[in-house]
Amino acid sequence: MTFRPTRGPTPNRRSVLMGASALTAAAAFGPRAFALDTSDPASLKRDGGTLLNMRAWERYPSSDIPGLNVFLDAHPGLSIEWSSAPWARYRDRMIAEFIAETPLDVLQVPETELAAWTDSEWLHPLEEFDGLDEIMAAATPAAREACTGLDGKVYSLPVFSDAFGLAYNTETLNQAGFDTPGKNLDELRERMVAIKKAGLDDFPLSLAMKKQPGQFWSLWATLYASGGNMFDENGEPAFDKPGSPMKHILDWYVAAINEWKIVGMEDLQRDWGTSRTQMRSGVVKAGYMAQYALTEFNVKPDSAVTGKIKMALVPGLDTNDVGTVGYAHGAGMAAISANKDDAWTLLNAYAGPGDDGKWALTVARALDQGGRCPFPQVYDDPRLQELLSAITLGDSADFQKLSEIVRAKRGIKTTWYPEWEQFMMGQVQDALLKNQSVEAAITASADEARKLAGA
Amino acid sequence: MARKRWAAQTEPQPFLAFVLNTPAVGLLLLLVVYPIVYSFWLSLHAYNLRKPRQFEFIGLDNYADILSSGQFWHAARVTAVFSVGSIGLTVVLGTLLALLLNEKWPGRGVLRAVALIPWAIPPVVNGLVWQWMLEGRHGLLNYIFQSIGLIDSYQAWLSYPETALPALVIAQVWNHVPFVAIVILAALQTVPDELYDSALVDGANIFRRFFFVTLPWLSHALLLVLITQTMVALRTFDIIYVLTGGGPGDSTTVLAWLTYITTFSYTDFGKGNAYAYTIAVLTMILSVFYIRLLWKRGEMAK
Repeated sequence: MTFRPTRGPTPNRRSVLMGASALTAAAAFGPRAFALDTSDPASLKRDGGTLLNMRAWERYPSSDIPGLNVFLDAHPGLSIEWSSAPWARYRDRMIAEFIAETPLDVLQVPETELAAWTDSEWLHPLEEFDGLDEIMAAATPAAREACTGLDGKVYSLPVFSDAFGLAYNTETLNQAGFDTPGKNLDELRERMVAIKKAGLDDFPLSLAMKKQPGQFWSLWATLYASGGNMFDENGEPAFDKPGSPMKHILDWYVAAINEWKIVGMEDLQRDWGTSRTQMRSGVVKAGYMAQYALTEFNVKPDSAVTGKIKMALVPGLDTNDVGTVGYAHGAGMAAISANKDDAWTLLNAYAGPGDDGKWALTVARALDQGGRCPFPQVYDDPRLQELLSAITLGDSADFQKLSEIVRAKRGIKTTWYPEWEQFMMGQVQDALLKNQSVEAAITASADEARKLAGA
Repeated sequence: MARKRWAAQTEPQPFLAFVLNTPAVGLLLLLVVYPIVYSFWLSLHAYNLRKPRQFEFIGLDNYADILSSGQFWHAARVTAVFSVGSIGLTVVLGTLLALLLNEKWPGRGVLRAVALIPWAIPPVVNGLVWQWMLEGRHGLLNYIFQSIGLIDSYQAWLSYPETALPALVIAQVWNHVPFVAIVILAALQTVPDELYDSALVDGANIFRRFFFVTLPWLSHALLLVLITQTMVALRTFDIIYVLTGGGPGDSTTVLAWLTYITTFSYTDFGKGNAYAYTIAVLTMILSVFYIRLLWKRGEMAK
């Protein structure tokens, strides 16, 4: 009979000491090991130096943190405490931090919040800093407008910006006998009807008219492309004035859905993101998309339409080269910042050309995002030219023209805009369903805007 | 002697009870009472996060604004239709399902487990499931309806006011029927067999047994179900968020959706909280009505 010990070997003094040493080393060097991961926001917090508090919303470009690490390597006296929050909670969180006077230096500023935050004196105007004029001169008109407060001062530098164009499936259009989607709404209708008649698609065009905050991009784009405005410089409704193209555009929309049936009724429950996904899967043949969507269509590996989607200028009532709509979110400086010069140095590198004038972070971000860059000149970078060529299928003229003529949604900075937007969307949907006339929808929407503005 | 008196003490000890309950009461005050009171306080102010420094006491003006707006009354009508439809169908189908699951038959255990699945699905996911089911060009429901000849061509169910609200009701009912079935099933299993035996001796048929024995016995369970389902129906915004966004037009704009967009889209926290309180008061009124209607019937049944 063999004796078998029921316990394992007893740890001796040496193994205990070695284990303790390993634990001590892990505790001491663990954080450093993590900090060496330059894509981890924690790596931005360096030992010593001036600490800058930075806020952003999540799903930031993966190039941001490594880019800021490069910036910090060149500025050893600085360190960054980076914190992010989901987009949906970003506004509430920032307001809580502003009210609580949490230390803040640099923060991302949604275009919808800039006016409210400047009105509350939470953002510091950037006019006093060297280089601002050059940066703003390089930005698109929409980006400049988005970064300017109601007092005319610049409060942020543009970071993300895009114009909306008409994306179309070249293969489907060619099969219907056309090369381009047309320069005006009549030509667009002709082509979409041809696609339908050829049996290529029952409802080839998507207008994405879901009643949801921030939607109706197609309507805004077509209005701007037709030389119209939703509001004038004084914030007065312009879309109900004589000569506004709004009525003709909505008449076209109503006919497109109910008469020509080139737009499906389900478009009333589609936002532009759903349209984009369905275009990527080959369901939607033409729709109003932000420029960066071209990357998803033509470059991303899981696209069903790789190499088939082009983006054209938005057809207006008569022409297509007058304007389009876009968005622009920026990064600004907190009024409470105790290190404004250092904050500007960071801001300039994050959303501008940086000390070396190379726009390194902006270029990296644009490569990462497939565009969304508010500075047209940045697209001169050979790597971005290569990307542009790939996403525009070798013809980037319309893409660049869109960046030049893009304008922000005017009226978006008012307190009452979200409430009016919901109301207007409901009215327009009722008109599209023929539950009321287009004229009634326009009049009611304009009256509501005046009522809210006067309240 | 004192110990003996303590041991023999039969009177309640209010002071000791308060002391022992202090931590729980403190937590309740902090986590429940304070937010409720603060929410009401906010509802008495003009407070919009787009003008965050303006915080002005306006008394009951927010409530007056709400009650005088056509938007509120339209939403109230839509809410009433949605609530009556979803609560009615949920309770009827849930009760029928519970009666089925209460009978002894092969496969009952499997069905009991399967029937729970919709309840386990979060409302937003439920909305996404139904979004695909109801999709206008490739939706499963269109395929089924066309296959059996109910429709000639695919329909965009969520884009027409006539079908969007019923579609929301169906999505809501599918999600909540299992809960009702479980509660009713639990109540059914407590009905004494003697009652049915007596009814049989008296010559009651199956319908009379249901209406005069089963249903009165279910009164308290139905009361619970009605109150919870009313609260659920009045608070529903998640499936609306996913499926319709309150459209087309305003055809699916219910009070909870109006509360949501007022608070989180318009960032009008003053009016948003006033909406929330209005819904709470409505729920309380309906709950009192249910209790008066059903509680006594339940007591008499026992």
